[in-house]
This record gives sequence, structure tokens and C-alpha cells, in this order.
Amino acid sequence: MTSPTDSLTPHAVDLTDGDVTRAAELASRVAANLDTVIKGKHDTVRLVTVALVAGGHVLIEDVPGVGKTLLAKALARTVDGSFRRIQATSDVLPTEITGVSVYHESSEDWSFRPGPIFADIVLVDEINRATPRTQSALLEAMEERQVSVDGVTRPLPHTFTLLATQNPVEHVGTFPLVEGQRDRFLTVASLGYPDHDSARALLLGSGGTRSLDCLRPVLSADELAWVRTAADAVFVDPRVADYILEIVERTRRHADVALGVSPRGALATLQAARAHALMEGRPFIAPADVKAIAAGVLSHRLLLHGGPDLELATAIVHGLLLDVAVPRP
Amino acid sequence: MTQSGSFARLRRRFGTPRPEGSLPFRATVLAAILVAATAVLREVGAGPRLWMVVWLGIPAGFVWSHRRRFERNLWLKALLALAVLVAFANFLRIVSEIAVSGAAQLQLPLAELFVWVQFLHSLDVPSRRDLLFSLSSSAALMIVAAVLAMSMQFGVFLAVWGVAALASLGLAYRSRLAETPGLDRVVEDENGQRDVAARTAVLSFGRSTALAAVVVACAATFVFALLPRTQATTAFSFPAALRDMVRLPGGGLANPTLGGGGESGRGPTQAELEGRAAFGYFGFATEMDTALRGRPDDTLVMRVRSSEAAFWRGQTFDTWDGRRWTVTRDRPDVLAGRDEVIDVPLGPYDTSYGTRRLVQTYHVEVPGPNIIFAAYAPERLYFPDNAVFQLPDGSLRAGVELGTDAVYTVVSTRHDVTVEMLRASDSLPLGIGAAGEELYTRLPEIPARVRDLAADVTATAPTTYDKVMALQRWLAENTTYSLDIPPLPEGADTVDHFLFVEKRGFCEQIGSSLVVMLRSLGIPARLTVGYLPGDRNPFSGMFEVRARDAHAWAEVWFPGVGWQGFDPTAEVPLAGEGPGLAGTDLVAWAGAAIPGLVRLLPGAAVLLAFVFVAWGARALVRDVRRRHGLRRSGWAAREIGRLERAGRRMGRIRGPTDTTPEFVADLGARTDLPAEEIERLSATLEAASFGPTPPSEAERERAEVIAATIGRQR
Repeated sequence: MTSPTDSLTPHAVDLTDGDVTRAAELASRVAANLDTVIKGKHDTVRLVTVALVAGGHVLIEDVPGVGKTLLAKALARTVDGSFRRIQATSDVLPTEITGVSVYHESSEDWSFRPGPIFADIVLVDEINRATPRTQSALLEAMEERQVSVDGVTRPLPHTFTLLATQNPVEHVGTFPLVEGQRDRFLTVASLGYPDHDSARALLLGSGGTRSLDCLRPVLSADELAWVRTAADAVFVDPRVADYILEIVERTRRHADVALGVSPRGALATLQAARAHALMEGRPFIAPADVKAIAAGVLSHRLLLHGGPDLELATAIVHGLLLDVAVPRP
Repeated sequence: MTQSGSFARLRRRFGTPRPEGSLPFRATVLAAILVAATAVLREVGAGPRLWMVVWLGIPAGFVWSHRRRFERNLWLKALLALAVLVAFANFLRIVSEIAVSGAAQLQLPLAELFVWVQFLHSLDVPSRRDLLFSLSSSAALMIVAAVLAMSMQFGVFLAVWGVAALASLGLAYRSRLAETPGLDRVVEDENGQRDVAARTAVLSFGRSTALAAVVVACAATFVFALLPRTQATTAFSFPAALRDMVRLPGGGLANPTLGGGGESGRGPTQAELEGRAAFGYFGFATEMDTALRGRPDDTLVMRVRSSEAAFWRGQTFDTWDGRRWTVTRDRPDVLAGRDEVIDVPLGPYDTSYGTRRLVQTYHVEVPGPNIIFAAYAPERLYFPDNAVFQLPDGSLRAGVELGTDAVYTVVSTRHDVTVEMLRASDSLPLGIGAAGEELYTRLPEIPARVRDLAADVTATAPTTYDKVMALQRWLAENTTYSLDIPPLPEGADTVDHFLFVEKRGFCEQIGSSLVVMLRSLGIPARLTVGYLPGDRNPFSGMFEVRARDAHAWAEVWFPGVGWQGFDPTAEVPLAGEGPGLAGTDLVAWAGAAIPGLVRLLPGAAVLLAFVFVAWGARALVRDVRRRHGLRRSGWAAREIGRLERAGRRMGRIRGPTDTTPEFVADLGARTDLPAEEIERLSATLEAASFGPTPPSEAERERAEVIAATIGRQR
């Protein structure tokens, strides 16, 4: 695999040094682009980039006004592909997302009019305002990368990435995502309040929405597809896989956790670690990659006894990383 | 990585190593070879052709292979392999000729072979590995020269060679370091504090060579000073030793291996013989009954160090009664000596010593008779007692028991007997006196058909020698050798029964028949018992004499020559066989084995191919397993273990959840090494631990240098 236009056959190729360098360079371009808009949130930006490379969906969960939508829009702009935005409300119907079949009188035929989900980057704003019926329509699209309308299954592009935002504080008129749905996001990112310097920069006119206008796409849809194929080809040593599984299994035995990480979560961890390794310029996963992405990928999948608490879940994952021995050669 | 890793590995394993570019390194190796070859040629006294090969051929070869070091040189390699084979075949041919002719000059062909191989190899030394191989073969040449060296002038060569070899080793190391990528950058770092890796890795070349030379010289002088110097006087003595001094009644024959009857020295009866040791021979007694049966086994009775094979004679029998041989002159003289050296005079029935000396050292392995064995005719004896006994026939007996580990040395004199000498001796006076002639031609009443047979067989033979040979031939054609013969019928004459009835027998019957028939013709003859030479051990060079080698044969008197042994039983040459060179037996064995080896070649080729395929399959399996990550990376584990030990010394103990990069970064922060080197070390270690393909050799070497530098930190 040497060029982005190569056929997309995951798992069947070896990465050359040139491939790795190129993929790392593309990813760092994305992160650098996001950094110009989202000031001072380097870790979050990196996590979102990992998700993009790994081919995962991102849920941005935070209080209003810290730039959730801005991050999503910046990511959408960074990729030079089709972008659709869905503003979720309780009256959005599933067909308004997936698309409908329309009868044409002139040709006396039905034709499919694709919904906004048929795009490379889809932003679902305030996803918890959509009804559970609409949310579950998104489910199939996220997991299967396809939609079924009127009994016909239609595939989504390989580059399909869903970004969703939600405000966890508001409860009135919302339908909180059920566990199964949170699990389908590769990572849940939260921005938090900007530090003083970043906030001042925002006030003084750099960064934020204004810089969004200056943002140029740095990654074509083809390149994104290629990078994802490259990530699929990253080598996994069995001992590293064991390391991932050990962490995952520990979440299930943890005293504070009611429901631990599913096998899907383990797969997501592996995929994110692959993307991270590629971004580090490595054709294989090192334990450090697992450590770097574990909290971002696993925390939102933990169902705690004390109710949802992302901060506590993150602390639990960090505690496990300090407990599980890294693999040795 | 797009290409299959297995092929890349195979290519790495078999592909030509990087060509060596360092001219000084090449030059010092050449100097070492020239010095070593010169030392060898000087010692063997080689002709101008070899000198030209060394001083023109080898330098030319070095220039050639330096110029062509980037080529693949496949045709040259094939040609060189062929030439080496030719040189070796030539060497084998010369050696086999030497083995036949008996010359002791094995040194020159060997040196010639070494020099030719050295020259041929010098044509194809593109890489450092080849040059180092050349250097070690020059060490082999130095060893050859040291073995041959006879003067202190060799020391000069040794010193020069040592300096050249040390210098080339140092240069080889420096050239290896130069290949490690990026190290030069570390060296050139402007910050004086940051060249730790470079400083520790690249020692000053000149200083290290000088230091090594001094250390080697000091150690060599020390060892040389401590080594005991051989005393020159000991060269005039020969081994003689005895573990226990057990006196025997003066002059008598004692043979404890023959059971009860042996003590008196008398021969045993068949009944007594059952009680003998399995390795006892009934011939080693004063009386030998040819009606006895039963042969000794394979027990190793003694080892003989001798430069040539000979019959190890024990004693002779003079009187025959138709069935028994007896030693009638059993009143020995005492031979006294000083300092364990005893001069052995000729017996009364002997005329002169031979013209050539043969030294034999006997190492007794199991207690046996007190007979002192010797090749004919003993002149001087080195014996661990101050006196021995000599019988009139010249046989020697010890006054002590010859137990295990007894050692004595006999210096014998030998005639280089020729057929012409034996034929000519008929014209000389007999020389053993009337008593001797009477003693050794005396016969009892024997059947007339025996006398007639002897007369008939020898009717056309003109000389004594021809008569002996005619009788031997007749015996060989008309009787057969067998250890398994029925007992002698009561009252039968042994010789008559053997020649006309049984026609089968072993050495006692065959030997006795020859002696009796010769005596019937008036030729002085006697029966001698002793040992065959035995098999020569090609490694120790000693003859291994076993109990079954006990033998009886005829001795015939030839005026002017002395008693000459004839063995009608076996084909043993009159004089010794072959030269006394240590390697000759081995070479002769190898020469005999070569046709067999050639027949084995196709099988060997198939075997080799099989081994090669198996090796390739193993490499492939390992490669596949490694790609699936099943093989633990020994290199990474070792290097990480070394770093962890260093960390414990430095107070940074690696926790179980620390990744290698985290740990190495912490260690690196405590050194002066640049951070990028530390990161690179981590990357190499992680790739070796968890990557799909191991890092390159250059990367590993570089990582080792950095890791070693960290390990040396306090």
C-alpha cells in the first residue's frame, strides 16, 4: 500500500516504513488543524483524531458553551468530504435521517432520496434530544455502516463518521442515551472549560468560530479511507492483545463497576491502539499505545454502581493501568 | 515489509556481507599473513616458487580483492574452490608417496598446501569477515612455524606478527563501529558533555593497540618464566618404572597367569591349564606341550612405544621330543647394571649386533611372566632393577614380578636384512660352535615321512634361505590355519600328525613343523615365543599388544646375520615396516579410506541438501512464528534486563506497569545522552519486543552501544 488510491483491502497488506510515515503525517496534520480552533485541549484533540483514524464515532459530552459543536465542525471541515448536520429534536423522525422513498408521478416509480446520514462526516447535535426511536435508527447506521429503508439495505461510505454532542446537565425534554448506544461510540470526549490563556486568546479574537472560517481541509476522503486501511494493518503481538484483554477483564471484576467492558469495547480498544500506534509512526502496537488510549476508549463503557460518572470511570481505568503489568519481551 | 520477511532473512544470512573499505585494516592483515608465511617458509626451507607465491601472489591477491570488493565474483569463487581442491589433491598425492617411500618430510608439502590456500583465499577477501578469517589462518601458520622453529629467530617473527595481528583486530573493531549509523553524529556533537557513547565506544585506536601489546607481552613473559625447562640430561635415559618390587627366586621363570603349574616355571598340563588366566599363554614357560589347546583372549597385555613394528621376542626353545619343547639351558647369568641401565651382551650362540638401533618401551598392562620382551637383538636395557638374568640363548628374565604399570625400555640393534644377505650367508662359517650346531639341529626319533617331505620340498632350493621359503610355501599351500582342532591322539608325533593327518593347526604346530623339518635338513633352527607387534594406535602411536598376539614362530640361523625369524603362520615382513612418523599411520589410513569416502559423496550431498532444506524450513517456521509473535525476543529481553540492572544501581527500579520507553526515558534523563538517542533505543527495543519484524542489525548494534553507555553510568 503506497498510495491513497490503492484498493481498500484491510488485513491483507503489510505496512512499509513509507506507509507508516505517511499515515503519521496525515494524522498529525489533522491534529494540528484542530488545534488551531480548539485551543489548549491537545489531549482531547488527539483522542478525536485517534477515533477518526480508527474509523470510530465520537460523542462529545459537555456543558453548553465550551465548543462541542465547534470541535465537531472543525473536524468536519478538516476532512475534505461531504458533511451533513442534524439538529436533533424530539420531533425529528428516523426517515428524516436515513432518507425516504419518494413516488415520482411522471415516471410512475419510487426512488430513494438519501437522508443526511449518507455523508462522510455527520454531526448529530444534541443527540439526547432525539426520541429513542430516532436514536435507534442511528444505532444501525453507526454499527453496521448501513441503513435499511423500506426493506432495502443501503451501505454508507467507508469514511462515514458520526460525531454527536450532548449536554449531560440538562434533563428536561431529553432522552438519555441507553448503554448500548454509548457503547457504539469509540470515545466520549469532553472539552471542559478552557484555561485562562486559551480563554483570553478566544476573547482577543483568535481561535473559536472565527478561526473556523479560516480552516482548510487537510485530508481528502480518499486519504481518510486509506489511513483507516493502514490502521487495520497495524501488527498486534499476542502479548499486547493479552494486555488489552487483561485490562478489559479487570473492569468486569472491579468493585465500583456494575457492568464492565464488553468484547466490543475490547475490539474498540484494539482499533484505537492501532490508530495511536500509526500516529506514533509505528507499524505495531506497543503497550504505551494501549495506555494512551485506554481511558478515552473504556471510561464511557463502564456502568457504575453510583450512576453515570465519567470522571470516576476515567479514574477507575487509570487505576487499572497502574495495576496491570505491561507485557515483556 | 511488502516483501516476505523470510526471503529478506535468507538473503541477509547468505548474502555477501558489506565490503570492507578500510585500507589500513586490509594492510595490517596482509602484513600478518606475510610474516606468518615467511616464518613457515624459512623453517621448512622452501624453494623460490613458494617464496614468489607468498611475496608476489598474496599481495597481488589482496590488491585484486580490494578492487573487486563490490562485485559478486561468483565465477572467481567457483574457480578458487576448484583450485583449493586441486591443491589438496596434490597434497594427498605427495603424502601418500611419502607414506610409501618412508621419508619423514611431511612438513614441506603441508607448508606448501597452507601457502597455496592462503594465496587462493587472498584473491577473495571482500569483507571484514573474510579478512578476519585470513587473520586467524595466519595464526595457524604461526603455530606451524612455531612447531618447526629451531632458533630464537622465530621470536622476531612472532613479535612482528603479534603487532600486525593486534593492529588489524583494533582496526577491524573501529571499522565495525564506523558502520553503526549515526554514531559519527554523536561524536561530532559540539557539546563536549554529550559524547559519552562515542567516547566509551571508540577508544583511541593507537593507545588501545599499544596497551594490548604491552599486556600480551607481559603475560607471555610471565608464563614463559614460570614454565619449567626440560633437563637436557634426561634425554639420555629412557622410561623404566615399577610399582611394587616383588623379588622372585633367582633367575627362574615365573608366570602367574598360568595357574598352579606356573610357579615352578614348568609348563602346565591340560588340566592345570583350565585354571589359568584367560590371557595366559602356555608358551611362556620352560616347557611347552604342543598337545595343549586353548588360546588367550583379547586382554590388552602391554603397550609398546617403538618406531617400527617387530616381533616382541620372549624366549626360545631348544629341545624337541616329538611333543614338547623344552628350555634345557635354563641356568641364567646375572647381568648387573648401574642406575637402571644394563648392557646386554650377546649370547654364546650369537655373533654380532645389528647396524641400526631400535628403541622400544614396554608398558605392562596386566601382570604377566617375568620374561623381558625385546626385539632381536637387545643391546641395552633400561630396567627398574639393578640386575636381570640372561639365558644362554640370549633371553632375558627379570628378578622381580612385572606387574601392572611396570615400564622398561630395550635398545635393540637391527640388521636391515635383505634376501641377498641371507642367500650370501651360506658361504660364511657357521659361527655358533659345534655345541651350538648340535643343540639347534638335535632331533629325537621322528617319522621318516617327515624327513622325506622336508628333503623333497627343498630338493631344488639352492640356499638355506630358499629352503626355508620352499618349506613355508609348502606349508601355506598344504595346511590351513585353525584354532579349533581336536586334541592330539595319545602317543602321536605332533609334527607328523599335523603334516600328514590333521593338516590343520595353529602357530605351535606350524612353527614346530618348520623347525623340525629344517633341523632334519641340518639347518640350525629353534622355536621362539613372544608377541606379534599388535595394532598401532594411530593417535598414541603405540603398538597395543593383546594376549591373542602371543605367538610361536621359527628362528633360523644365518651366519653373519644372526637368528632370523620366519613366521610361516602369518605374513610379517622381515624387517620393520614404514617410517616412524607420527602422522603416517593416520595419513595411510586416510589414504586407504579416500576411495570409500568418494563412494560416500552422493550420499553426503543428499544429506547436506537435506540439512540445508531442514535449516531453511526451520528459518521459515521461525519467521512465521515470529510474525505471529509467538517467539520471545531474546535480544530485547537481554538488553532490557541489562538496563533494569543498571536502573537498580542508579536507583530507578522498573515497576511492573512501566512501559519500556517510560523506564528508558527515566534512565536516559540521568545520563548525558541526547534525548533522541534514548527515544531511538526505546523504539528499537519496542520493535524487537512487539514488532512484526526485528530491527535491523545496525539498529540493534546502535541500541547496544547506547544501552551499554547507560549501563556504565553511576
